Amino acid sequence: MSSANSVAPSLQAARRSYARRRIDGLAYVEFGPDNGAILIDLGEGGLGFQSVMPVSMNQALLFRFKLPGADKYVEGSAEVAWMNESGKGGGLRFVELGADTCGQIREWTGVLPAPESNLVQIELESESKPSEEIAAESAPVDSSQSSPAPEVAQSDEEASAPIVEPAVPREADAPGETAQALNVSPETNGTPSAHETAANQLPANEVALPNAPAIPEFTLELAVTPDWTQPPVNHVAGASPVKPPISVSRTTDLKPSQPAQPAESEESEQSAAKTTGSRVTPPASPAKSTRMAVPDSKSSVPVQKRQRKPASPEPESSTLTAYQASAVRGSFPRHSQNSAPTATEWLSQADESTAQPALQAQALKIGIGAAAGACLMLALVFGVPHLRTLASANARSGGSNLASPATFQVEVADLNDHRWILTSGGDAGSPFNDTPSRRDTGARTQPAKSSQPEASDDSSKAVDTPKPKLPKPGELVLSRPRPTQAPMASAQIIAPSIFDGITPPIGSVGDRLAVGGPEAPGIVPPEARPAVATSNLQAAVLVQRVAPVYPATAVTSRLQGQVQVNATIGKDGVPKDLKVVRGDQRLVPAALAAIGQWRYRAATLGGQPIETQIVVSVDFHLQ
Amino acid sequence: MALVLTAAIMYFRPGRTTPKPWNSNAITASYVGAQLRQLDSNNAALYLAYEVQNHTDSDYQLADGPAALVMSRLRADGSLRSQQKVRLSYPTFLPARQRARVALEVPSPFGWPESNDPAFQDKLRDLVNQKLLEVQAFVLFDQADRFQIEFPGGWQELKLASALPR
Repeated sequence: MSSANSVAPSLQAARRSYARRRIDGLAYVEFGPDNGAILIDLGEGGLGFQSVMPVSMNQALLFRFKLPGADKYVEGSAEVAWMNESGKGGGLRFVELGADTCGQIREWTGVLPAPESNLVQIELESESKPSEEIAAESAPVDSSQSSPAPEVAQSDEEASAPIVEPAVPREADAPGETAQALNVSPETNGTPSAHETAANQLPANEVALPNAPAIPEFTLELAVTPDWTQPPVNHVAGASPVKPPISVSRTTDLKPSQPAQPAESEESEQSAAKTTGSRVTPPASPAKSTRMAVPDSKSSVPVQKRQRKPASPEPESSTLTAYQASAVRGSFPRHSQNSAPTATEWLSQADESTAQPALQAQALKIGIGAAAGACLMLALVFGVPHLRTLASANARSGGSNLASPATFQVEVADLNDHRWILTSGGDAGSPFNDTPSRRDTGARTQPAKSSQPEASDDSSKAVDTPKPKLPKPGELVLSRPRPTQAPMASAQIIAPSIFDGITPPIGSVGDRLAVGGPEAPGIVPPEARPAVATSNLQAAVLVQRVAPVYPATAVTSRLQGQVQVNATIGKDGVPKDLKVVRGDQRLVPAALAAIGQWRYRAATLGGQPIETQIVVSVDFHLQ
Repeated sequence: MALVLTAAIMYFRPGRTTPKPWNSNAITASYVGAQLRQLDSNNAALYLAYEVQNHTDSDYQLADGPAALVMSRLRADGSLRSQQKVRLSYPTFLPARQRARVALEVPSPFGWPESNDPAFQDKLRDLVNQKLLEVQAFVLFDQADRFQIEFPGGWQELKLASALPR
């Protein structure tokens, strides 16, 4: 019926946990109602087939077949683990098998699960030996290996298990038949081999990746640099002279319960890599990635030309890239919780550990930036108005002779154009002296000799003996200008006043009085203002004002209005020659009577008082 | 008939009599300074200088008149009062997007103290405090253009600053 007389290819054999038995006869396996296949070989983990219709990777299939010489169907479910280019040949991985079915297969194959290393050695060292001989030799080889780390850390049970190499015909070397002859479908029912473990951790369609060195994108994306200086792969079977310093801990994943040593990992990796036809070359530094060499087509190892056909080109490419990237990093995903980290794992962990602080630092920077931005916004929101206030204060201080913008200051000016600074809360104890700041608003370019020096003197005398009160916080205190300002010549302009142009000249007839109803009719500026400032002319200044009496008839009749009177201000400052320019006749007598009592400081020309004519307006308003 | 109806609708349409809201952003003012001036022996005036800014694209004539009413906003509760006579010192032409300086005049009957009066400064101080300390700001309402011009009281901040130890 069947004979187990084959030499298993290293790649597939290394990935098997169960022996395969080739079926010599013709056995047909049904893949549902629409498809079927010729059974090539069979093991507890799966089977090889040549189907009628193409299948796809990872395709779930319900199968049924009869073993040669058996009447009972073997049924179960499986998935396509690998397939050839045509998609009609490949291997199935059993997913679900009945207990008797499994026993039936085991009984048919007559073998127990065999360690893959044994299979590898059998394949590599004695290609043409019968399987029994191979099995007989394989055990001593394994046991005689003095390497502290066996090629594959199989369990003792597996290592000591008798091995019957599945039957793989020699003609399987032919490219066209490789896929069928070298049925290396991974079997996951038993303890996985190193490659199975690695492959199982990859996407499903990556299972056969190590067996597919001819995949062009694999070699391209990995930038494989074949290292021809390395000994042939068939030299390795446990006694490899090449000891790459890299540590790819695939072996350690095999046995979670057995923490693997790094040396074991290296050897296992080497072994695995070499059995898969690829060669792991030592990187220049441990931090560098693993390089995988393209297998030599002239190698004595029967090179499998099988290529995996992906379910779709793009996923394979992408997964290959992911696989390669992970393989290059040496950071295959791990399921073992007990396995000790290897060097590459440490490296990958180091990468992660360095990347995490970098992310944290970046997040910290972002947070700091956000906080700074928020602070800036708050400063702008709350600070700008205050700054504007300060700027305004500075501007106003620069445009006036007020002392300081930090305090509320009121410029005080009397009729003699003596000026002081009324400051809030400051300079409380500053006594007045005889050097008040003086400013002539009427004739700035003239010597500001006061026309009433006695008044000035009186003022000076008065302030020589002040009795200032201590200021209360926030209260206004009158203070004199600093002595440094006092010696300034009276003819000089202390500073441009902020009130120039927006208020009437001090002491001029333009100075208006409040109009407060019958009790306090006011004076409005005359329409025709006298020249108040020439090179040598000093205008007349009102120094005494008497409020006109609102006529009773005007009050009763709610009469309001303005009376304009042309007056001549004599050298003595007394208005005379009053002539009504316009105004209601009922208001004129009151206006004339009031104006007649006013007193002016006579206008001067070259310092000499002169008579001047002015127009005085008196407003009558009812409140 | 249609014309009559249209005219009636236009006359009685909603919102026709709704007054235009006060525009307080068209013209703004910032405090510049204050001056207390003796007008004669019995009167004084407090001048408050401001810088006004015309934010509109139209020229504006800022003048004292029947349509312009200046009121005081009390510091205590922000209410307005017109008890205190306040007016613009001079009419001001304020071109579009331009600034100009104006002065508010707060006249007051005040017996200007003699220069030899020992309480000279106290009287002046009391006058200023009387005029300003209760006032938060002055507000000019231009009823013709519906402009509300706020003249802030710069003495507030300065007063607070003056309370600090020096």
